Amino acid sequence: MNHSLHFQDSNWPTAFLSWLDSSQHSFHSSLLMHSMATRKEEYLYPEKTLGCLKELDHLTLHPHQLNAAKKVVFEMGGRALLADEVGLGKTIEAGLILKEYMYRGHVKSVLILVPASLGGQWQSELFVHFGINSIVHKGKKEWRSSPVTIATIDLLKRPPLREQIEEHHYDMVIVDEAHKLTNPKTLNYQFIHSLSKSYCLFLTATPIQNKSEDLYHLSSLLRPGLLGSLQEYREGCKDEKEKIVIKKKLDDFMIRTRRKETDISWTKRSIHIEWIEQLPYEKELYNSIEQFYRSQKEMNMHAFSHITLLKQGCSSIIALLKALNREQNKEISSQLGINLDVTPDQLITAKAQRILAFIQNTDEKVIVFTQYRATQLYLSWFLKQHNITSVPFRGGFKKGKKQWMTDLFREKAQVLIATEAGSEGLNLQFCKYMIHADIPWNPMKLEQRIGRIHRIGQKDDVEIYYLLNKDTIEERIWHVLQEKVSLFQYIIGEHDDLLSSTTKKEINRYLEDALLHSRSEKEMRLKLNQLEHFYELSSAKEQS
Amino acid sequence: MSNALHWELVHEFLDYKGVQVTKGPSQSMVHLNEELDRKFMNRPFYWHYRDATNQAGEPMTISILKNDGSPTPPNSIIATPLNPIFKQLVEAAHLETRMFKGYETAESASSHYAPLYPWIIIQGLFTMDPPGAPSYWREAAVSLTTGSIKTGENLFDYKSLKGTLPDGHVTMSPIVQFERAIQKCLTELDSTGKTLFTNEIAEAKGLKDKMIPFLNQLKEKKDLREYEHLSALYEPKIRFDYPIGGLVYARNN
Repeated sequence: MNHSLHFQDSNWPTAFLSWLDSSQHSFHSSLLMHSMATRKEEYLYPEKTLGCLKELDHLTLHPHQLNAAKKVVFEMGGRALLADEVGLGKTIEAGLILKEYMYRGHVKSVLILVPASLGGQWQSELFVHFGINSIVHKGKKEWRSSPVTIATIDLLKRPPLREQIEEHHYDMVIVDEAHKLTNPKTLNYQFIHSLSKSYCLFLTATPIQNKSEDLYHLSSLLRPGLLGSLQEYREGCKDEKEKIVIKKKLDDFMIRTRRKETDISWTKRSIHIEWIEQLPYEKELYNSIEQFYRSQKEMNMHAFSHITLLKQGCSSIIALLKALNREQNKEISSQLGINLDVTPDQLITAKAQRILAFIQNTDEKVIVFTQYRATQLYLSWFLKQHNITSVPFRGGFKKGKKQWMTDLFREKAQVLIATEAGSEGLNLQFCKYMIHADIPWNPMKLEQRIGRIHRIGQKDDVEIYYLLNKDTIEERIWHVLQEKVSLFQYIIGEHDDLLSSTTKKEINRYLEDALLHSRSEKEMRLKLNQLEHFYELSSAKEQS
Repeated sequence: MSNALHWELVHEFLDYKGVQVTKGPSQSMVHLNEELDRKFMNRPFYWHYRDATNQAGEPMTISILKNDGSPTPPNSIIATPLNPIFKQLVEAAHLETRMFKGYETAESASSHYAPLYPWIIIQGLFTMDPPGAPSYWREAAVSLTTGSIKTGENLFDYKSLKGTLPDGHVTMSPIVQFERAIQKCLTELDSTGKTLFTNEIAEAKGLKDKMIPFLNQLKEKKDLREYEHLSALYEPKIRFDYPIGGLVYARNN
């Protein structure tokens, strides 16, 4: 037929003709009237409007989420990096975009790639908020052809599943925690590159992990060619004028909303620092390691592993003893004559006692974060001795167990003891207390931890407790960071410059060098002053 | 989405299907018939067993609730587009009206038979790809006796149409073939769409131009499947969704 109209069902005109030629004619006036009225109500909308919102009147969407969805659908051609800060609802934004495309009939087959711990959460959120049914692919044959499939990259990236997945064309691919796709040499990157996809969304709060080139590699998957060649990009990042051009191009595929840019009235975040005096045995053990480390330094034999030991010593005795028991630390143990065979009483730490006291004084739920699994197990055991039930959470758990632990924490247990690994994307806004049993080296991780509870949906002010051991490496780190607030803010993203040629990894290295390798307090402060001066200059340039 | 409209639509549909409905202001009790139970209630094993043992099945009685209040009675469906069964009922109702045949009635009775003239009508929703344009509901109708064309909205009084030829009326034979009439309607709608979306087509072409370097990269890298799909998605096109086709015997020709 001679027209250029596009029908969703291209056979409709022929079907209408066949119907006219047949005698199967029926008519129900009222049904026709209602059908027409409903269609008009459902599908008539002004320009640049998300039509699917008519089906989502139960959902309270924030302006930044609506704007992000509109920008992706109407301006970016459906290929975008959603890089909002932690806790701003990137999953909801992605769900909204997906729903809109499904509503318009553009998307029928979807592949959602998420960390193992988040599969169930994605499935539940898609169904509850958007009425989208999906299956979580665990490798079984019959699950491969579902319209909306949720899976992990790790499951699909290797044969034979990889070949089977690559045979399909997906109308939309969504990758959560996409910062894992910043290295083109990895199997993850190559797998995503090999997928045939129309629309594509990457979600991450930290689009730059190590260097500004990370953004280039993400853009190569989403919009190849947008930023030119890698060499051109590198050169561009060094030139102030070129940087402006690149930033404009980034706006063509990346949406990054900061907390302070939203109109959400965030609940207050109170930070409490508690200085803890180590118990005698703890102190003795820690001091002996530190002493050993100093003597090594004098002989220029200092190694970074010693710093890790000191940090473990600040976390818990058991974490330190476990580390000393490892093969690579046997020499230190023997030189120091450390007795690795200790009684449970000797394992008690001042931090554990403080955590216990805190929990005993409240009926509210509490999350305790630690970097070390040994500390996690120890705290769990210690609290159990005082009739406090806790649930553990760590990266090694299978998806079902992670979901189970989260549910147990929500419904039954008062305490969740978590390590960072695997906690990304967790929604624990029903809890308002968080205790850091130790502090990670990378302050971004602190923000990630806090983001678990201080996110959209949190109704109460959140209380964050840092437990820091006095006269230890923790005190040095903390004091310097406090003193150099501007540096700290830079690292956690307040002055975040995604195109800076100096990257976060480099800053961490400078900080480590200044804090731990300086031969004197004076040298350390000098190095930090230089670093701070450098960023003040960068910031001034940026503003001008 | 107006839940009230869907609520009414589904009740009209159930009524049309001859189902026994006890309708309340916020809750209805529906005793399904076998056809609807088999189609919507998702219990294939039950019906398979009844069929295999050659026994008549007992269709379910369900409740349709306007709002998601608690406690909900057993076998209840919440009238929201997020409820898959309710959504299927809505879609089934729309499907029943995809094509219709109706008769107008002459205003005053006459000793002569009143003539009714056949018209082919197509109506539906205009929108555009890639997304961004507004949407419009438009109709086009072609007289099968004179070949004249009308476009606009609510070209006929659908509410007063009858399903059978009313007494004292006679239908005139069509001169224009059905196929020709459908073609004329679609050509007219095509022209309407192009007028409605003049600015949006230019805007969509701008987006496509912006995407050309990206599409070329895909082509160069031999990602041809991705290239073809995306080229088609970014190509500006006028869509005509949810079409309803009708044969109306009207008073006027």
